[in-house]
Amino acid sequence: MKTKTRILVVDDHQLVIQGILCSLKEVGDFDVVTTNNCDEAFSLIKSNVKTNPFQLIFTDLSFDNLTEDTNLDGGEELIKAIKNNDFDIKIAVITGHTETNRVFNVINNLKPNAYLLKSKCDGTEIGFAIKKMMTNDYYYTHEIHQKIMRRNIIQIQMDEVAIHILKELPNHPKIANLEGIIKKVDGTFLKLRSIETKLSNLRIDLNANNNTDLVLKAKELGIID
Amino acid sequence: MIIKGSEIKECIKKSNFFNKNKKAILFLLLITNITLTAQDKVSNSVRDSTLTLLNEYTKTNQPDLPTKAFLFAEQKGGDTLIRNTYINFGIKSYFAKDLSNLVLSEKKLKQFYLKTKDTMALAKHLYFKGLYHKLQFNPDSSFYYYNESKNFSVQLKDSLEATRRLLSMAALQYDERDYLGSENSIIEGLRFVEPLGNLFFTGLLYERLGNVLFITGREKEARKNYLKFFELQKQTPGLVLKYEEARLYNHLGNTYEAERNNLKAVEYFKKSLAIDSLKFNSVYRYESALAGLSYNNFILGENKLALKGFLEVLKSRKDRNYKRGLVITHSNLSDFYIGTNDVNNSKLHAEKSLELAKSISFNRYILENLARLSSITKGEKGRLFLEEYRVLNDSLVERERFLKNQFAKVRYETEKKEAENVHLKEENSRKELLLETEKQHKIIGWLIAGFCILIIFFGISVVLSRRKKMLFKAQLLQVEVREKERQQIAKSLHDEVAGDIRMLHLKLSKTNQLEEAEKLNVIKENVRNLSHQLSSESFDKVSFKDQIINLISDYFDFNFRIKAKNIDDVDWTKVNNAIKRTLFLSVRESIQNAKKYAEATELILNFSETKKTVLLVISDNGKGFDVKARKTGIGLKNLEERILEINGTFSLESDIGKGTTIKIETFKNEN
Repeated sequence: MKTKTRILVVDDHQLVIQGILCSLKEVGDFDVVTTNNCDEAFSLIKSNVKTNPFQLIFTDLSFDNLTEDTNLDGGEELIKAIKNNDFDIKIAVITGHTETNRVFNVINNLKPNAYLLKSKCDGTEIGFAIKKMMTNDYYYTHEIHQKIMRRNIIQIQMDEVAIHILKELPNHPKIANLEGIIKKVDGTFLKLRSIETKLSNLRIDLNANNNTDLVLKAKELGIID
Repeated sequence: MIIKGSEIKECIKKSNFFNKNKKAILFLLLITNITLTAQDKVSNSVRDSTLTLLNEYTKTNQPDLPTKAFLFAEQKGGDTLIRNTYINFGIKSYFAKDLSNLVLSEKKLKQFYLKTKDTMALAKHLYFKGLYHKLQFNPDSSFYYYNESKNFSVQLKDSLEATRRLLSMAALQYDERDYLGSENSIIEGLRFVEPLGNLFFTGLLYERLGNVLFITGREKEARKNYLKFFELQKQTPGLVLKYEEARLYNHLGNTYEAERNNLKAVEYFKKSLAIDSLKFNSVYRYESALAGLSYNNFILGENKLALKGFLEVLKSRKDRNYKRGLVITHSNLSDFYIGTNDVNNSKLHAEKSLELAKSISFNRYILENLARLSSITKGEKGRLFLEEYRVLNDSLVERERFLKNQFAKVRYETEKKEAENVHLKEENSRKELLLETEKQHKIIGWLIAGFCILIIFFGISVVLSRRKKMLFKAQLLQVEVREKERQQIAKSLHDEVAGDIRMLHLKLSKTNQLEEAEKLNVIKENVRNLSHQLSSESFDKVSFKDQIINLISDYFDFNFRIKAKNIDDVDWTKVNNAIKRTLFLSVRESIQNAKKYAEATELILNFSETKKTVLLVISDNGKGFDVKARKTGIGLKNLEERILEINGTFSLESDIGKGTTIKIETFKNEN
């Protein structure tokens, strides 16, 4: 018999919890537990981990119902605690925060499986996110995805070595030929291994399938001429 | 016996004269050297001209030459040349017995001294005065000036000059039969010259000491000194030793003669005469030796040999017109003829000798001849000679006593002065020591004061820098506190205000008030933006560079490119968070200004650092504005205030159509 997927929803606004519950009902039949603070969320996960573990958690980032006894004072802390304890649970952030620094901090440092925005969220999106999460994939809502992409482009643009690699790539059929052409900032040549690592990072950043695709995307985005 | 003694003394006198000649030559050489080496200002031609004049004067003794040379030197030459010209001509004038020019040189030297305060010129001036009195037969004045000159040379630490003066003084004293005084002068001279290692002058002093010992009947000691003298002459370079040998043999012959060892005396005089070409090159010594030999032959009864010798000496001295020598030889011959009972010839030579002696004030021989004449002349004439002898003898004895006293007095006064000087010097040095200690105390006082001031300054600067540091720290803390406040407001706006608006929005949507709902949505967006502006992420979680990249990505679009240059050049981990926050906000404010107001299409952030500071230059290519005409907006004003708050510097350059450049420099940290 297939057990129901257990989901923990953490938010300090009852209205939001209800909204999420509504949406989840649209998606499927889940065993949903809710709480309005992070400490309780963490203890729930911890106490159930052996007997009846949660598979998913939806959490907000900021909570305004903090007291002096509060230990975990926000979504970031909660995610950090979960990660530190190596609980096997997929994490989704559902929040209103779109400040780039905060989003970047959460995605870059805490690596949640999904990042959703309350304002744009509906049953369809939550379902899609759950599907992705359950297959060990990541899902960032469109606005966040755009943000991250743009940021990557900026970062690549500031990276002279990356720009050089992208410019030289079409001229050489083999990547190995790039060795001895690409220089580091200090003037020494970049090793082939470093070039390959850089390329793979670039492919991830720009969502490219292969190197040809990478160059095309870079041109499309105006990173190179 | 009287004749014998006089001859000997005359020999000694002669040798003195020779010594002086030698001295003069050496002196001239020295002066020439000085003139050659020391004068760099004066052209060779001026020096050569004065030397030419000097040579001419030496040869011709034309009395107008010194004046000419002095005028020339005074017009063209430097001080050293002028002084040396005076000295050179003065010496020459002395040898030429040119009194007026000697006085001229002496006066010129005095003027020169008054003008330049050159003590050497003063010493020479006094020396020349001494020479003048010597020529005037004023031995006491001469002695006085020699002594004065010597004292200045001693002051100048010119031991050689002092020795020369002492030699002259010893000779004067010797001539005036103040043998004790002479000995004293010689010994003083030896004290000066021996440390100098000047063998020549040391030798001369020993010779003169020998003379004094000889004349006072200490022949053996005299011989020792003569031998010492000769030893020293042997070691002196540049002397023709064989003639010096003749000098020694003459001296030794004289001593043996005085001991009545006439045979030994003859032996030595013969040795002297046997020296090759003595007659031609040192006629004076030849004459002395021959006279000595003849005299001893006469004593030994070899009358023929004696007469032959005397006559040769007489002829030689006549040829040279050497009056002193002639006086002695005539006297010798007169004595000789008494011995051979030839009264007429004796009287003839005695009268000749007396006449010559009177002409050159040769007192000893005046007396001798008067005595002799009184004894060989009979009657009234003889009595008159005796009377004359008595008067002169009395006056001479008187004079001798007087001079001895005078010499002693001069010496005593000098010594007294010296003693006074020593006393004054001691007092002076004591005072100087006192002054020195006082000065040292003062210096120590100043040093202590300076040290104290330094410490005070150091203390003040420490306190000031500490206060500054604390102030800075407080300011940074203030920035942090404000940051927290902003954070709190942002959170409230986001969670409470925005949340409430959202609920309201939902309600309105449900009740189909779409228009209002839409308006509310706009408000909600504004509140959210405001919250975003106020909120911030800790640099501990997201690095400064990442935050700047995030910031750029927030504002980036293809029509507004933002470039961050050299951001990796700064070690941001070393920069205080409050300062980084201020820089971050400055960048954001600048980006907003450039995008909103300046309509720029490009903005460049350039980062750099020094050891203690971070420099940020933000430049855009927007339309710019006139900095003087327009007051800066509230945004820029806030920005500047924020920078000044953390002790940074802020400068803004802008011109219409030329974009805007903002330069910010802040300390990295509170230290």
